[in-house]
Amino acid sequence: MPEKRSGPKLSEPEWLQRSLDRYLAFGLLFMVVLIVAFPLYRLREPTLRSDAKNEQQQNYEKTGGELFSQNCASCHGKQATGGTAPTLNSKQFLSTTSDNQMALIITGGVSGSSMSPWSLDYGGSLTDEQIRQLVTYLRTLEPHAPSIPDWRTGAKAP
Amino acid sequence: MIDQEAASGEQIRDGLEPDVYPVAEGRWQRLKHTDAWRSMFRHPQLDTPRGRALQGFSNVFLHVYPVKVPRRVLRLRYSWRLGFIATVLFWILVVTGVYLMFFYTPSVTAAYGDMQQLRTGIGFGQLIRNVHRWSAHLMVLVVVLHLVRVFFAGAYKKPREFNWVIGIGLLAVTLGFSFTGYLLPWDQLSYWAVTVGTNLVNYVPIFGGILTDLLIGGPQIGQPTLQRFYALHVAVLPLLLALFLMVHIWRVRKDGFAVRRGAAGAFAEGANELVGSESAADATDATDATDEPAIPAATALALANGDRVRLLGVVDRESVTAEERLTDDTVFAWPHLIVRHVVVALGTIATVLALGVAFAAPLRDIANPNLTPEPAKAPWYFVGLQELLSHFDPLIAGIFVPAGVLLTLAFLPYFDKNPHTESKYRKVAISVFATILVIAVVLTVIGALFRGPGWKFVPPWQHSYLEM
Repeated sequence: MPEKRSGPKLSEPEWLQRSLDRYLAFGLLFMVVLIVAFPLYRLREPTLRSDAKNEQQQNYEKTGGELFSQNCASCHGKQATGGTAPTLNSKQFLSTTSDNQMALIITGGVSGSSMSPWSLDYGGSLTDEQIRQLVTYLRTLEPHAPSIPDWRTGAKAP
Repeated sequence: MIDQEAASGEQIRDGLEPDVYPVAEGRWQRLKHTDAWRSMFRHPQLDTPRGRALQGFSNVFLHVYPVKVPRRVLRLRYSWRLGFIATVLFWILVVTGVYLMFFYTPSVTAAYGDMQQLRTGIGFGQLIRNVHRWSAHLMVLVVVLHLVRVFFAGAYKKPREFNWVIGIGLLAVTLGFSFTGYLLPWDQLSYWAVTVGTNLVNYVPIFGGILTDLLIGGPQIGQPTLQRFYALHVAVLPLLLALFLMVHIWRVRKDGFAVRRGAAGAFAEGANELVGSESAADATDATDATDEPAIPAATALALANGDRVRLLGVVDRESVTAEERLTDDTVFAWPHLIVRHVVVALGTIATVLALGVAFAAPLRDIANPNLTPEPAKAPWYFVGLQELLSHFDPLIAGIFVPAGVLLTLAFLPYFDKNPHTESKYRKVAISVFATILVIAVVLTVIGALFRGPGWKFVPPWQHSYLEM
């Protein structure tokens, strides 16, 4: 092995090394915080998300109901129980119509009827958000909806 | 042990002589001798000044970090690391921002729903949004503090004038980022905060109408505004910021981390600062970041005379003579500065993560142009202006004052010709700046905390109308 001739040795004062070690200790601490925090948050997250979802659902039902009585009740009847327009609070309508279908009908209207487009995009007055709220409200009626075979004509429940 | 003959060829290519290169012993060392390893990590860890310097010179970090930095750079109170923290926050914002972009549509009909989806349906969605928002608020704060620190240090003076101007540009870009980002959730908070902000542009003399039209793209804030703000937020401003930041850091590298200059240059601290009572106190103060000990009087004398340490002197193995070592107040950037920076970056990430876990970013009802919330407040960093507007004519409070302050700040180094950086020689500059700063802080605090519906005085202990 050849003789080592690598120049002068590195001479750094001891306090410099101590100070570096102190920083490294802090770095370790921060890393532990990060490594612990993420899984902990991940564990809690499903609850947080479902809580937020429930809260939003209730909010939507309430707002959707208000929107319905302001914009739709004059034709579809209070509580969607029928009038000059189809009875939406009926087993037949709610069980055969998906959320997306409902949203599309409200958004774009039904040609040849007095159901006009409601979306802001097509000259209506509702945002997509409000249309989703309406759909959420209508969907809450489903469990107790009466059977009305003539729902298309706006027939009331017998 | 590697074959001497073969090794010497390789090592000449590396610029390393055979006797310098460590001997290959064990599996780990053999890995370090493979071509692949050495193409990535060009120089081995050598505990000699020359080895350390070679590592620095052959590393991509040389673009940002010099091989050696003055010891004072290691001190926390040298800069409070504010510029670096701002850069870290920017990178946090880039990463979290990209994640948010995956789930966001810049459309008035979809944006708000996407925000709700982040909260209710997307893994880490709400957390990432919180972290993004807190980092953005903190970045504005840290950038302003950085400006204040640089002002009080007198670090905008020759030769750093231009970098100060770039810094003001970075402040403007940061504010632009925060303001354009404010609109994107498309809730009542964002809609009305941005309405208050953009209304100001209307007061610009002559061009007010055209500028407002350009900014919001219609008679009122709507789809064109959202699309413009989105494009500015995710494309234009990041590019601008990256460009300015490159110049900014390059200038810091050229002007700031350089080896000590003569006493006339900016940042030249008197030698007595290093040997005086302050650094003697450092040595005993265990809580100080570096506790730098007092250096020998001979070194101090050399420093006071403006002696320099030549970087090349470190590289050339034989030329580091005893005399030159004496004046060497520098340390290797790797590991001393870089490790400190990494730790500060980790601390910053931990802080915004903690904030993000503790405090959720707000989301009010969907934006409704027909329903003005009371009070409609601008984002917190503009709320001082809004407060000023309630006392003065909009042309004065909304245009002349902010434009005047920003322009004065930008050109400050060119009319503050006083070469001194010590505060005792800068009484006028410091008192003017401090007065403006105090006024701005007071206005912001009043506007943010003490104003309620109808911009009436409501103390925060009755009801807080502050929205972050």
